[in-house]
Amino acid sequence: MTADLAPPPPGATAPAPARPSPLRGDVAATMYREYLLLTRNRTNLLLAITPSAVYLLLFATSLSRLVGEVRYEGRPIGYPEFAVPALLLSSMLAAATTAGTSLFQERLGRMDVELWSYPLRRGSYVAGKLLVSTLLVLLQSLAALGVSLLVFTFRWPPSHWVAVLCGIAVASMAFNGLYLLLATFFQDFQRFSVTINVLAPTLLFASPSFYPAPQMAPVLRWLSWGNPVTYGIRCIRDGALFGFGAAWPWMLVLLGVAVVTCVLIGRSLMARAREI
Amino acid sequence: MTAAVHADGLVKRYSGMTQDAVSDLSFDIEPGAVIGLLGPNGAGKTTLTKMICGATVPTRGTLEVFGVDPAEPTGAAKRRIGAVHQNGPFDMMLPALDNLRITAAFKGLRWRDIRRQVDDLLAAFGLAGKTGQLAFTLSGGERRRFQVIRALLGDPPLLLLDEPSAGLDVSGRHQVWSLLHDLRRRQGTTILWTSHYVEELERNCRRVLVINHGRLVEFAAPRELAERFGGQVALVRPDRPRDTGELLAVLGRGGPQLRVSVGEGHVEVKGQGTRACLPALLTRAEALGIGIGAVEYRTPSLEDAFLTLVGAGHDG
Repeated sequence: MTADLAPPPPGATAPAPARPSPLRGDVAATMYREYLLLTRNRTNLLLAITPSAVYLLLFATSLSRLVGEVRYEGRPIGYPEFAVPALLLSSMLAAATTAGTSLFQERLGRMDVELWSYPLRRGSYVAGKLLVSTLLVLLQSLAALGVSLLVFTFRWPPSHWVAVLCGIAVASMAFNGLYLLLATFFQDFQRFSVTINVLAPTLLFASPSFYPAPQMAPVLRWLSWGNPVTYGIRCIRDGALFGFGAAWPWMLVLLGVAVVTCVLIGRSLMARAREI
Repeated sequence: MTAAVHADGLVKRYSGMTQDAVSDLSFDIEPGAVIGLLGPNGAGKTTLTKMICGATVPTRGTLEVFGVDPAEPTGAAKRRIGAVHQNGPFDMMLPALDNLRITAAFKGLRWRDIRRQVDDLLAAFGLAGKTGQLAFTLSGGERRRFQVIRALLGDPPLLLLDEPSAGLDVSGRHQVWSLLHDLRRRQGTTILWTSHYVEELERNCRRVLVINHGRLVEFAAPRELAERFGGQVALVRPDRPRDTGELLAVLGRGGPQLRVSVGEGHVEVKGQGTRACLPALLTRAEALGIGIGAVEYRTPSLEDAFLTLVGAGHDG
């Protein structure tokens, strides 16, 4: 059934606005939205900072004095130097929790139909989301490293520092990817919330983060082999103490995790967008 | 002339489903018109709205908004559409103002260019003091009004309103109506308006698109639909109000084409055969001792037509 067309009222047939370039258009808009989602929620921010702050205080005071030195790969090192990767990983996991929660909250707010009503390409959405959430995790980890430097003194050569920074970058990508992927699996917020908040301490304690692997209980040691945090800790710790030569295998593993999770998240988000 | 919305043989079937959500829909909406979209729950109204705004892609058929495919990746059509979706989507953990800023960013609008429009709309809807509140703390009505503001950012020439009045009180509804009429008058905005309030569509829309089971049932002016399908409506008042129940029983035997219901001291009879059947039924009632005080024939409404078109027992 076709209606007769009336003469066009003023403005109704005006040309469409010019299409902005992708960097100023939908990618920038997605990044802006992600930035707001990840930084404006004070509860999430507080939850992200608290565990790292507690660990830092613990390392800087009683635990450091109590433990003194640790033997790692046959070499004696101060406990703060040994444990600082755990502090960084704790910060990384907390930031990844924020990113995962934000993704879940997007679904709870039923924003998908609204988003796809905008001039937004699916690829831009996925790229913007991954980029900003990875940046958040990276910046929060670097902030934790900065605070550690104020409290402790590390005498690492410049090449080791480069290895540490590369390790942090790769681990940020991997853990952000893992947590976002986790957020795409869950349908029920309560289950997701409990899982994601319990996961961080469990992963940390089931890895050689606060204690060398030989001192771990056998069960924990077995678990640590399949625990991605183990690879993050080893990557940063070996990079700091021995440089790139020792850290690169761990970096490769983390890079693999990052690539696989990014591909899976991209596919999951794209599939969800098509289901609307 | 290019239609604001052109649909030809439009079909949408969701994956895993055995039935089409929208089936073989064809219509044109002229620029500047206010068109109502009416149908029972599950008729395909929301699916149609989502296809027009480009959120979901048709399975088959042609769909164009001002001559452009709304799902086209450059977003040329989407830039000309403002949508109020039914389920009230918001980034709940963000303040309302940030939600508006995000929409502006996606529409490629500079905030400083639209700031005045935002302030005017906030003032018109009485929301100026609510912009700092997190979206989840707003009431349903406030969120709905923020949604309308969000859809109006950048003055899109096509507005898709899926239940824009849901959750609004009477004054809120009138605010929305007057704003939309003003928009249409000043800018020639085309509006596709879905509502469960049939009288809202009857009052505000030039024509109404009635769909059921995903198919087009009728597309005509509300008055025309009411006259063609509303049937005849008669109010029959017994001499004695206590006879209303008995009168209902007698008139109820008028056959399946008549629908009878009890009102305040009267029985309402609706249906195509009302005028033809009523005299015999009234004679039968009087034979049973029920005195008839008055019979009043009423103009049928769009709601009457809707019930005839999609069958009673559905809500619109």
